[in-house]
Amino acid sequence: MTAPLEVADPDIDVGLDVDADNPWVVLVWNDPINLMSYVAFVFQKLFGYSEQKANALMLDVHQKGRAVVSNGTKEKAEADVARLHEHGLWATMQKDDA
Amino acid sequence: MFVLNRDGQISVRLDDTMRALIKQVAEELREVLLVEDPELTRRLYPTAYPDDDEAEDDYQEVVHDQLLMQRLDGIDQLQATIDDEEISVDTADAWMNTINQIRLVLGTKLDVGEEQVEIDQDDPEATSHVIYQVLSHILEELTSARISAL
Repeated sequence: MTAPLEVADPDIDVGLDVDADNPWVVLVWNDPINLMSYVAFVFQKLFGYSEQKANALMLDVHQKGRAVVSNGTKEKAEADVARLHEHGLWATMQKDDA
Repeated sequence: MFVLNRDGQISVRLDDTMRALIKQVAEELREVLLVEDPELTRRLYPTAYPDDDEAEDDYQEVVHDQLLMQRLDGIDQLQATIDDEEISVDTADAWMNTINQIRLVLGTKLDVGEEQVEIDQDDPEATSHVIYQVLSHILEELTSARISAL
């Protein structure tokens, strides 16, 4: 279903590695209003992701209902969530206990 | 409809009727933002912490007014440039953000789903459905031009 993820940039991934220093994850959830192209654009603009990675994340949101789009400290995650909210995306954050 | 030029500006090819419509619905968004009916604005202020009410209250206290100010400023930017033949990338971002917010409010009001609806002319909301679809098309086109500038 999804475009291949880049192997050259493994730190942010759909199955993102969460470490003790960066335990907060930011999720974007599917909604019926935001356009797929717009969501992919926002991921590129806010996080500097490649078109390929942004599209893969967007498709995960669309097809699986949600995707982890960034992680970090609580402060970083909160700033990312606020920027996603500014752009009208349905974003939440949670501490990853896995 | 929108073309990214070599100098980094985006050319706007919209007729006067379309520009007037965008300006008007942006003004309606301003009213919705100021009135803050949560039924209409809930998608503009999503919950950041679904499992932690205290953290959520703190987040909203910091972010809510900031988002409101940014959005009112974006509406001002859009309305000040709506008749321009060329807009900057920053202005395009304000247009996109504002147009998407209008879609989020309208889509919430109309309870739209993933599929594009066939518009029934007898539906009292037919005009709103048309505006929603027109704005979706404009945002799609603007996104396509803007993404080339990344």
